[in-house]
Amino acid sequence: MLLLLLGIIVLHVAVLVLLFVSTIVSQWLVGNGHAMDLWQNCTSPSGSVHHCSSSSANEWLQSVQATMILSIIFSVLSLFLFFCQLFTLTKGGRFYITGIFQILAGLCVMSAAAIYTVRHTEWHLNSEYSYGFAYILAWVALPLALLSGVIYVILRKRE
Amino acid sequence: MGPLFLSLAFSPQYEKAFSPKYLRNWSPAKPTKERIPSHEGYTQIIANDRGHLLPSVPRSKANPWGSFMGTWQMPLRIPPARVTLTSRTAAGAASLTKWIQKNPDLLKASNGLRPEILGKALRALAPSPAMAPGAPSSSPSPVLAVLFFSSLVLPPAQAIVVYTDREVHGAVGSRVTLHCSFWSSEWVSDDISFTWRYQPEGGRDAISIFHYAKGQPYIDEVGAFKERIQWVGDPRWKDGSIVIHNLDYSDNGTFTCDVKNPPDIVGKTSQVTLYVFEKVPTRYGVVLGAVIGGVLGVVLLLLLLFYLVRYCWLRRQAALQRRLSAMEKGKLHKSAKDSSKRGRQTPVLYAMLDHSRSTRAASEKKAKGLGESRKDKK
Repeated sequence: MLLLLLGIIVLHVAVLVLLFVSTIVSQWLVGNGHAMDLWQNCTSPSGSVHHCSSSSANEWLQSVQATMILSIIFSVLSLFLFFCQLFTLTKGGRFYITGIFQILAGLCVMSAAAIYTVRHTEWHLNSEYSYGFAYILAWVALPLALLSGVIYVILRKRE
Repeated sequence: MGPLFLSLAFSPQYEKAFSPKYLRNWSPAKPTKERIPSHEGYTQIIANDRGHLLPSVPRSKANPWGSFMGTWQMPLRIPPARVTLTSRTAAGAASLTKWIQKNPDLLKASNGLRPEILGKALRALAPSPAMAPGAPSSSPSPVLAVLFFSSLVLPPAQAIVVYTDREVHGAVGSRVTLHCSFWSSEWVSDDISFTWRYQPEGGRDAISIFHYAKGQPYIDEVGAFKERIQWVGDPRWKDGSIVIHNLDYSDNGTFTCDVKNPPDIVGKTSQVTLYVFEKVPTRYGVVLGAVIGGVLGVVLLLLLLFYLVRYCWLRRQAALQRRLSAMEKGKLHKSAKDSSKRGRQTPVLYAMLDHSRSTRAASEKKAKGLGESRKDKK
């Protein structure tokens, strides 16, 4: 029982960490000498000097930023609510709210990654690029968040 | 024909009662003189027709309504304003002069004591009897209990500070407002002046396009902004904004707002850069904020709705439950009444007790079952 609880918490925290890293680190798109993400574009032409400038104010980029932030918010809220419900829920009850928030976080990440994939040509003009690891982490966080949410919905509280 | 008590003329002895003086509803004006006699003094004119103090009038720098000097800060006796020292002894003259200079607050006040000391004292003669620092002469100094304005020694006035936006975006063909506001340590005078200058993008010289002085705006009638500028500012609200209509790409550049509020004239001007676009881009962060706020709001609303609906449903369930148990009890009483008609008292009582116990157990079981399913749904 305790092991199950620990496992669930570890999963939730892992999802949270993935979301944070994916939002903050500047590695959504990488090319040769430049790296860009949701907040800034960094170029390092000579290899050592980093020159960063903020990204464009494109509406789609702003919506991607918004949904990533929303997903973090929902995940944190869900963790907080999990601990609340752990102590207040009656025996045999289900963690519905926690699960719903976690699923919402997963949906937000999905929409953010999808919008980014479709529209990223609108705000950068580099021809050669490949997706960086922060982008990959966002996609990885999606199934984990959904899984975590579903587990919360199915799980029943026991003494 | 009865006796005629009417008389055509009213008898005069009773008319006095109806005069306005005795009815007290109005009284004729008392005769007044047009001008006060010269020995009583003259009126000092200190303000113009609009009620603004004339510039020659000394005014307090700390506060436009003067600084209040309370009753207990006033000296017990106000020294005379005009003193003639002729034929006074040296000692008497000295004591008078000392008395005048004793209270510096009265002297430094903007409309305070302005002592006039005339004449020269006698030197080393017999002291004359009447020496008391007398009652104040007929000087225009106020009475003790009246408000007395005093100004404090001020630090040098700070400079005027002008505020404008830093950047303004406009679309071609539309209009844009250039805001300009200021802070001044002096009060807004009638001589306040606003000047707007324009420096084209890439140009070096700045030309003056708008000027406002003495309550009159002067707009550009010959230059590039001919008939396109509108004055929307108000000096009383410390606002010196103008509106430029019908923007064009050639209006890109830097506008400088210059405000002078005499006597506060030293200060920095402020610049605003105008960018003219074909379509005004939305500000950064609008979409971000809107998406986050919108989604959070919707989620919270849905949660609230859900909890409300659940609460109402639970209440209805509880009401139904109560009605159900009441109905059960009613059926029970009915059956008891029927059986009592047939049998004797005591066995019926036992039957009733048995019946009630069984129904109570049944209802409890029913309640427990419902409760569990409710918890499950949670």
